[in-house]
Amino acid sequence: MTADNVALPAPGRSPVAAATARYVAVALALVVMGGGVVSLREAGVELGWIAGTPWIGAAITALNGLRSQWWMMPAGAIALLLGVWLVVVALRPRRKTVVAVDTAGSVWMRPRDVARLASHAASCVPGVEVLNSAATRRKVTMYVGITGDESDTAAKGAIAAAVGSATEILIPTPRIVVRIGTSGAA
Amino acid sequence: MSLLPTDFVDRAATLVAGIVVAFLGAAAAVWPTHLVRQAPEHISAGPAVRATTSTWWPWELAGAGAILVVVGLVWLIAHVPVRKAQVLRAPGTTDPGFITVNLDGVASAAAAALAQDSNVQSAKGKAIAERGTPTVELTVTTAHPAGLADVISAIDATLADVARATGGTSKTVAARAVVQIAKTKRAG
Repeated sequence: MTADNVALPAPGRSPVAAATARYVAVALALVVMGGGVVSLREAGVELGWIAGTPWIGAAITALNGLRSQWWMMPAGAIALLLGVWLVVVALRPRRKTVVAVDTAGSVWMRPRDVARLASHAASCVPGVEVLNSAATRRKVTMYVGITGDESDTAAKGAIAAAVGSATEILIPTPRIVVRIGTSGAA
Repeated sequence: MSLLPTDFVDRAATLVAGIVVAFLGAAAAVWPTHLVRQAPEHISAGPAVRATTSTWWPWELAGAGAILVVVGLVWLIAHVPVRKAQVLRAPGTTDPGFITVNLDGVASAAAAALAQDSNVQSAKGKAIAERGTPTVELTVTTAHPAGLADVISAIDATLADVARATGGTSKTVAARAVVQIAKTKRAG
């Protein structure tokens, strides 16, 4: 049964990774809570309900009259970089984690599954041993060993053709890179 | 996942924090160089120091501290994932006594139907709200890469069944599937 002639539901959106801003926000929420706890502690100390020395008061006193010092330059540069990173994180769209499959419905594949598909396709080529494979949304890299008598160029061509044929169901079809005789990260 | 109010707050807070940290960092980095003539020689926090000696200072701290703890806690809890059941009204039914469809049931049934396919190792289904649109999400694991084409055809057929089951309900239902390939043991 094919779905070409039957109604399909509205296509679901592409799955995306959680926004990095979400993790930053959790850290900020903890910082806000921490600030609140420190303020409550300070209030307790000031009112004599808790034993201890004031932290916020001491920090404000230390800040008063502070002059510029050399260490502020590297510290400021680090803070500047951190701030720019936070701005980028806040504005960056969520990362797509999948690649579309060319079919009637909304069907997607993760890059790691594309790599498995490519490994299977390459392993079907005679004289080829798949050492490893890695994939991103746009590129598949095959790490293979050649066990036959074929030249490297011919083997690369055969592997690229096999992997290309297997991955032509993807939109966009990924770029295929074949590396012979090396092993890489999966 | 969608741009929920929490996402907007997260991004806005991150943006504000980033701007503040970047501004303070730039000021701290430039200050020792004396490149900016208007920059003060030292920080003057006199009013803040005087505030710490006032009688209302502890109470202000207590109030601000309590608000910060509550805001931080609410913000933190907002990040705990909660999945609301997607319930749709069946076509042709009106108040009183209308009939509803639980989309989770549709998703589970679709997954169960796919799991019957010999090329499918496992299939899971759930209903989510994607930017306000009820969405059936299927995760289908193919037993072997050789059976991928058949599995994709089966998914299309199942998505069509989902469309039939949810057609005419109170809201437009979307569906998507993520097809995975089972790990195989590497020879050698």
